[in-house]
Amino acid sequence: MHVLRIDAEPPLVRLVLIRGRGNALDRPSLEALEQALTGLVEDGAPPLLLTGEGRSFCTGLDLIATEGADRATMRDLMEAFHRALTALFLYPAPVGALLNGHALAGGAVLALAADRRWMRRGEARFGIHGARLGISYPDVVLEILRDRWPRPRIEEALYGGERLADHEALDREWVDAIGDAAVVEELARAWLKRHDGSAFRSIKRALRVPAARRLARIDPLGMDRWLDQWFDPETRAAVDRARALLKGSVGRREGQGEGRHGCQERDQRPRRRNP
Amino acid sequence: MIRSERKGDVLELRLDRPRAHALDAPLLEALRAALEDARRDPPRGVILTAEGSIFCAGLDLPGLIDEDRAGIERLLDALEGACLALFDFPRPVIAAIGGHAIAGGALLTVACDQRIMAEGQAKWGLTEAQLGLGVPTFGVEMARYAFTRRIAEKLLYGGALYPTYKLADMGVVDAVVEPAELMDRCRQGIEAWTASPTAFAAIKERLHAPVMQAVEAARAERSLWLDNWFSADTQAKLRAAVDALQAPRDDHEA
Repeated sequence: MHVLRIDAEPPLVRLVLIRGRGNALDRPSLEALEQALTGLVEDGAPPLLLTGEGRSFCTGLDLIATEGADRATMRDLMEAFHRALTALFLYPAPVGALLNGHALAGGAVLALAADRRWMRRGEARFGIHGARLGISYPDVVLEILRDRWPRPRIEEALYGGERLADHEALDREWVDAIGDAAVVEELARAWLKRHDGSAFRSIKRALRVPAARRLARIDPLGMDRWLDQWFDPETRAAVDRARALLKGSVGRREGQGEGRHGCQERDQRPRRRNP
Repeated sequence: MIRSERKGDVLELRLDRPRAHALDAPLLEALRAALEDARRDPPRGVILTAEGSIFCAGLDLPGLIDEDRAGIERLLDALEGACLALFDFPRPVIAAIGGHAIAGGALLTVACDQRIMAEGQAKWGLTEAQLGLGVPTFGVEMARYAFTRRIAEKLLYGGALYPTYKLADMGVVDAVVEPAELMDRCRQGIEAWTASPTAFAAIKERLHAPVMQAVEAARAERSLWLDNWFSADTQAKLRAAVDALQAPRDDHEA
């Protein structure tokens, strides 16, 4: 199953999330992402443009795929999440995230692990809203946010769980620019080309040192706390409700999508299939 | 000393003591006990507040000046216990600051998740440095968490009192609101952050974990703060402050 496409566009590489279902993350897609990044580093780490296909950039954990998952399975999934996110965050060359659509929960963090973000103007939302469903965030997420944002912005984002529209994301400096597809594409490519070089790489490496040290090992206590919260009965019930909504939406025409707290948006397949 | 009242799903804790709600060990121990009680059946959030034109004047220096080392050590334990109980509480804790918050009084609010201040004449400051006292290590760690490096240094080294508009600019307080709206604004803040109270608690625990570890690691430094309290220089400053407080004058009591 194809989850990721790697397009060589010298001097850049475009990494495209193509899994569908909101490009939500399951274990195979996290492992594919980690492997792709490792392979690119071995090839000299070209500058990277990370984007998605369809209405979503990435909508976070695939809740449908987690149905019935026991604690060991969830731990494996979250360890894969830790490794993939760490690989992206520590990628030695410039990384830009081009938000073609929704970037939600873990998908928002994927975007925030990049060095820069551009958002296509439109209806898409950008937010780390897991707490609204009762889902907590593992240490890898907190490390990335601590590296990027001051304390009040982290708390507002995680505790409040707001999902920002394009202009709000720009106002609050979650993204560096918003614009029409062609405009942000051009901005992203230009920025990546301009910043590729040994200076950027050495500075990025130095900046990441403290976080890299902390991310080198997964704190078992932090992981246990995350799992405790995931398996909390109230969280289970909220995730079950969200999962039912997501399943119900498959095959229905796209439309609202915004009013719900689901960690993923519907993919583009139902849109092509007329009900 | 602590008036504790559950209003709906929010717990309001009011500092309530003569002499501008000044802090001594029993008050701080009561604050900690109230928070520990509340943990057993957690409210949706906690608002820490006080009536009158003074939120809290800090340590009760006239009551403490003649204490021996054991007495001051009990005070330090109680201050640390209260600050940690606020900082580690598994729900949003918001300081509703309607009057002056000075030294230890300001420090209590640093341990809260948000500081909301009523528009007016009230000032806020970590003025410990002016008395020759440092902020104890747990307070420094909490300030490091709450503020940027530049602001933390300004507050801690400078020891000045700031008016509300400055505090908002510096990001020390999260909002400045009409006095009549103070409590409502705090309740809204609690609501906005607790769509899932347990998820809030889980995230807060992990965000605060490095601070709790740093506080634990720094426990050996407590004796330095006590040594400093009893140094000749600091004692002279503390006595001068007590004399100034006891000089007859119009008090700020509301």
